[in-house]
Amino acid sequence: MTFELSPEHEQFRRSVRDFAQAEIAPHAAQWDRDHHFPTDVVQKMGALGLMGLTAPEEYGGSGLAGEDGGFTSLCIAIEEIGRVDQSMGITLEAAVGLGINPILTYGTAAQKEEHLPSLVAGEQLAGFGLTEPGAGSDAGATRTKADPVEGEWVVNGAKQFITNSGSSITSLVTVTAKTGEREGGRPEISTIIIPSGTPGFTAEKAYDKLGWHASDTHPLSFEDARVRGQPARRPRSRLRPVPRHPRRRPRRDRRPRRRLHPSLPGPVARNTPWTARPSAAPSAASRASPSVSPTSG
Amino acid sequence: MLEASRLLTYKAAAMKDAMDAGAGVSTKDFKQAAAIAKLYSTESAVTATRIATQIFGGYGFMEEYPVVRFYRDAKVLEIGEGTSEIQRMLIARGLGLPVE
Repeated sequence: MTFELSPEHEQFRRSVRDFAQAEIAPHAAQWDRDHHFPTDVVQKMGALGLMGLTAPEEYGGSGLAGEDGGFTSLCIAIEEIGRVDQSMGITLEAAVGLGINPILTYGTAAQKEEHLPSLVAGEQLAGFGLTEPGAGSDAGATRTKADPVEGEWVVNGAKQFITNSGSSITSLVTVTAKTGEREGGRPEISTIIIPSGTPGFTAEKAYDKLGWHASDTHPLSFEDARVRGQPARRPRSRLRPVPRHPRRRPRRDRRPRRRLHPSLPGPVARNTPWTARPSAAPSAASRASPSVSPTSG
Repeated sequence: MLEASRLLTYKAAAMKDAMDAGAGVSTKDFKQAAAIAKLYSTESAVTATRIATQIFGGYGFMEEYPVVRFYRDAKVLEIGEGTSEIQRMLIARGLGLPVE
């Protein structure tokens, strides 16, 4: 039995490590201090091919799926980038797993042709909006809704903690929204692509996070954001592909997750055990978002 | 911890590639391997960086050393993309244990 990566994978690891040492490591501490999202370096990761490791060649990817070990290559790339900067590690992970993968796996041919080449090349980024103030774990509790009006979807609602959703190179977000009711009164949750710049779609001010300061994370709001095109032309029965993605499916069974929340005091530095317990206890007992206010500063 | 995390993670990655190649790995087995890798690797990252800050003593609390950033950056790994609690629930369910 051997537990080693192939020589090709080890060579690939060295290439990514060289890139990370040259382009990321010298700047990571400063980006962290400045809360700076380095779009130029993100695009360099794309030029190196890191966003395309699991994508087919027709969209500019490596074509290394399956037996050629594309997914293993992606894990190696994320490990090596994350080794010098966790923010750039998650940026890569989310760009592929949440930006490209849902469209690649479940998008229509037209959606793939329109969006994938620039995402696979790493010239642009896409986010995936599932989590809301009161839902995330439990996709069925999604309150964001999309109503069909004159051949368009009119989207209203809000999303939270969405990675890669508001940078200057973000081209779209794919969001879950309630589009009706299914048999037995269960909500019909669909996924809809919303291009950046759509009137009514706002990526709000970036979060002030405990870590991952150089990662692009925003709350999103939708006020009568109208989306014409692909989703509206598809039969309704095919409108909820992305929630069935393997990585997403477990959330169906969950209670809403307790995530870092802007209204919570800083979990480590400012939160002594004495202040943490009264803060955390009601948060753990309630399904609603934490309502505690900062204890200082 | 690092070695074990790598082995678990790359085992899951290899299973995913094998699954995509139609090599007889089931989705259920891959998801179980991925949940185990995610849980163990992320909690190891937090533990390792916590110990590292302790080794630095008072400087481990100061932003002038990178170890503080490593500790801050690690915590969210236990929260995002399925908390540790959710991973444990999935693993238990995958083992056929009663959950909830």
